Amino acid sequence: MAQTLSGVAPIHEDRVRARRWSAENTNLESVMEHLRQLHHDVVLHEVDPHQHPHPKNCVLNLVVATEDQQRVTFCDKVVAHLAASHPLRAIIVHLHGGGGPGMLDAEVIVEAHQLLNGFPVQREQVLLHVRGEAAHHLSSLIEPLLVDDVPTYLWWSGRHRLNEAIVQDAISFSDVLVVDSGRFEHPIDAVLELAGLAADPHATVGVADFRWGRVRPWRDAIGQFFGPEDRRALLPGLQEVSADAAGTGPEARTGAALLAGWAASALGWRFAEAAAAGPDATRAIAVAGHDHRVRVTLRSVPNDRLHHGELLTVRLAGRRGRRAFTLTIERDPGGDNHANVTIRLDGGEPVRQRLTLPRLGDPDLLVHVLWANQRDPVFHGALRAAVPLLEAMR
Amino acid sequence: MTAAPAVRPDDSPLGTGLSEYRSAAPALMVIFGATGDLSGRKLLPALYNLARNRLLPAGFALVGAALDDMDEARFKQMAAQHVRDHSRTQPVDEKTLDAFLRDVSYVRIDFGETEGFERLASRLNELDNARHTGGNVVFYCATPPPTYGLIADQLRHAGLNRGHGYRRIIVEKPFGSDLRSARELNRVLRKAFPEDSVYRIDHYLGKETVQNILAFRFANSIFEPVWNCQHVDHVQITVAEPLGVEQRGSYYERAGALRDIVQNHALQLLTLVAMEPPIALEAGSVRDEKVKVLRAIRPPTPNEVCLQTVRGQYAEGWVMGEKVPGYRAEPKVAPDSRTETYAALKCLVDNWRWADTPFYIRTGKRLPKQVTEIRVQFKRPPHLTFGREATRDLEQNAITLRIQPEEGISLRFGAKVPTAAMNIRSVNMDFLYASSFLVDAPDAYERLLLDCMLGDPTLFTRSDEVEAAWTLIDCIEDVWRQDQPPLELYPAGSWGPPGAERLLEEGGRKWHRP
Repeated sequence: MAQTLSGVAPIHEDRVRARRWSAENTNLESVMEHLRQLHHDVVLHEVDPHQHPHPKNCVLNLVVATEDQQRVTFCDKVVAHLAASHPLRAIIVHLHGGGGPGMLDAEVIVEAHQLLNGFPVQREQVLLHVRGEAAHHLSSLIEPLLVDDVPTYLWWSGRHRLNEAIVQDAISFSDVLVVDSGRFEHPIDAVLELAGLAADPHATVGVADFRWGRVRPWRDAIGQFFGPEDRRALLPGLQEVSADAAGTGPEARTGAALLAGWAASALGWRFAEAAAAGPDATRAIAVAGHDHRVRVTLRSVPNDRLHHGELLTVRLAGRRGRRAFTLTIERDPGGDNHANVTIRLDGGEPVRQRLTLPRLGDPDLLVHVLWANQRDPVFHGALRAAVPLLEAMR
Repeated sequence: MTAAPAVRPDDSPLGTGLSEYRSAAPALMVIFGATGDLSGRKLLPALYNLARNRLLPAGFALVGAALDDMDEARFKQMAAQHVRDHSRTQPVDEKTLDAFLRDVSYVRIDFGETEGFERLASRLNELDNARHTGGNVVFYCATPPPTYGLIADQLRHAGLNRGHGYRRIIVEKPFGSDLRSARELNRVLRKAFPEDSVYRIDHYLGKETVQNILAFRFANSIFEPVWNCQHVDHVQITVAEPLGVEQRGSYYERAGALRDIVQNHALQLLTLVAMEPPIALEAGSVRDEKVKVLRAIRPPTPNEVCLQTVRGQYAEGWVMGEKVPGYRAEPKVAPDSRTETYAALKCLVDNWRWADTPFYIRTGKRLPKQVTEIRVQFKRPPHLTFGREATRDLEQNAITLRIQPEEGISLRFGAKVPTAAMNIRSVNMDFLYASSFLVDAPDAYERLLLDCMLGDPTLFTRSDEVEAAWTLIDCIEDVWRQDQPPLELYPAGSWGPPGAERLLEEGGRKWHRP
């Protein structure tokens, strides 16, 4: 399924002024010098005799690392569009691997976007093709290129496990590690490794997962249901939580586990007795307080229309005193961008609603990550709480 | 000896409105060590650029003096190549370069023999007569520090330290290797030249951004009221470079980071940040205020040295994408060397303005990137109205004065994130030299060479400043010589040893990552 670039401002190509430089088998010193020179050229070109030249504007460093040329091309587009509204310095690293002495090919682009309202925005981008042993020492290549005093987001799009030295080295210069755990060969392990980072009191890096962003509309719907004060009183009566995800095997249930972890973290539950129930289900009991227990069921359901792991149905049910309640959110089988919400409350007629369920592409998810806190306490809490479920799914 | 007055724009009705116009009286310049690295990379290109900007005085001529046996043509050829390779303005204007080289000559000189200085005297006499330079001569010692005293002595014996014009001598840092040797050097130099004719050059002071510290502090009214212990939590001074010791191993083995950088560059930056407003931007006033700061730095006790200083040495690692050897594997470095390539320390300036406000200094080789900056970190507001959640990503206000690279100033403050909720994050307001003035700043050496010819020592270091700085450094070196605190290794390409982090953690602070 093609990924869209819907969440960011469109590029007005006639309003973009660009300067480029590229070289093969170069060194970082030369890259830095050309980056400085191109920046200066763009600024000089922009100066209107009646205006003061604009100062540096850069709100973040975005470092993208991947081994895949197609991914490089895609990330390049994402960054270009992102830059139309977020002035940034992007460093895209194409890891070619291999042994022997390091070799570096580089391309530098400095762009000034003259926006409609007249405020210029800049993108400075360095694309590095790194070969040989240098690829295992990314911090030595990246750190000198970072703009001072703005947060550094590392979008790790590579295949390496997060606990490998190459990633740990890259994390050392980052404020936030951004991954799509769904792209890893072992997604459950990837999320567990993220949970490890989130739980490490000495870790200075925040973590973000696009998978968590995809769960966001479902969290919104659940949060809204329990928003009114009289419904909040129902929360201690929750007895059952279930979530179905598209696909087969335990990996498909990773997002569902994060959703359950979110509920557990927010409501103070602790998962006990988490175990596989056949290849396509995981069951657990969440212990809330002294004697309250919640049944949690996560299922994988084969589906050839949706991405592996996308949520299909979420159901919460319970009873508080004499008040029984059920909330069911089902992805519309006919249209992927909506869900049907069914609310049953106090034995009355079911209330049906239709909920937009936007399919978020990487650019949108990246923007969401940039909006969030660098250390998103809600996500970190969900990760920590989901660990028993994820371990049972391995 | 009478100092020839500089011709200032204010003095001449023709100079009015020429803000760049600073013309010195006619003079000659001698560079000792003219075939060396400093001369080739910095001094000759700086003089060429002064010529290019019409800032060299009328009648100016340069005499290169060095031990190398070469004729004048060869020296000129070499000088031309250095200018082409290292001039900050490119491409080089060949006509200007030709004209500049016409005024260049060479004298072979052995600093230990008087004959060479006699030949030099004769050459200077010829040039003075031919060019009407009024006997004005600047002697530049671009030579190893141990030769300064010898050169000054030889100049005195040859009668070159006095004449009918001014005679000035420029010496490069380090000015001694401790307080005792600095005093001895001052004594030897003063035998030949009065203090106001000795120009101790610390090229950092010639950088535009360093001079801008004074402008930032004293030309604006909004910063000075908060520039004190009431509002500033602490100050961090970072002088980091990715290079190793390269071919300077034998020098560095004797110097180390503390003597090489902290004693001069870093403490000079500290004085500019901490000093009181001088009465005028005039050499005496500025240097008086700087000396007061140095004298106010609390000399650490041996125990404080152990707790408040850090020594590190780089081990093998990766810098700028390349694998580099550890310090002990560098040429001309002992395989069991205990010399520090990284130094960090906490200084307390005991005066009314800075009581109990720590100044943290760190410098090192083989750090991830080249950066020199001063970060003034302000205290948190007494009460965070918006709650912990809303201010989770909010850092303390800070002003960063970047000396190099990307010279400029940034102010960090909190701003509301434009969402329905009240979230506050840190944002920056940046001033960049490169994109604000759109002119290339002169190199530090251009500024300083011209200042010396103008007789303006404001940006040069006075002997009492040097001695005050050594007083502090000696307190530390005395303890370090006993291998305390222990020397910590750090991988090349990292930000230094763990001890440096601990130094700040004790105060609940952390180093700014440039």
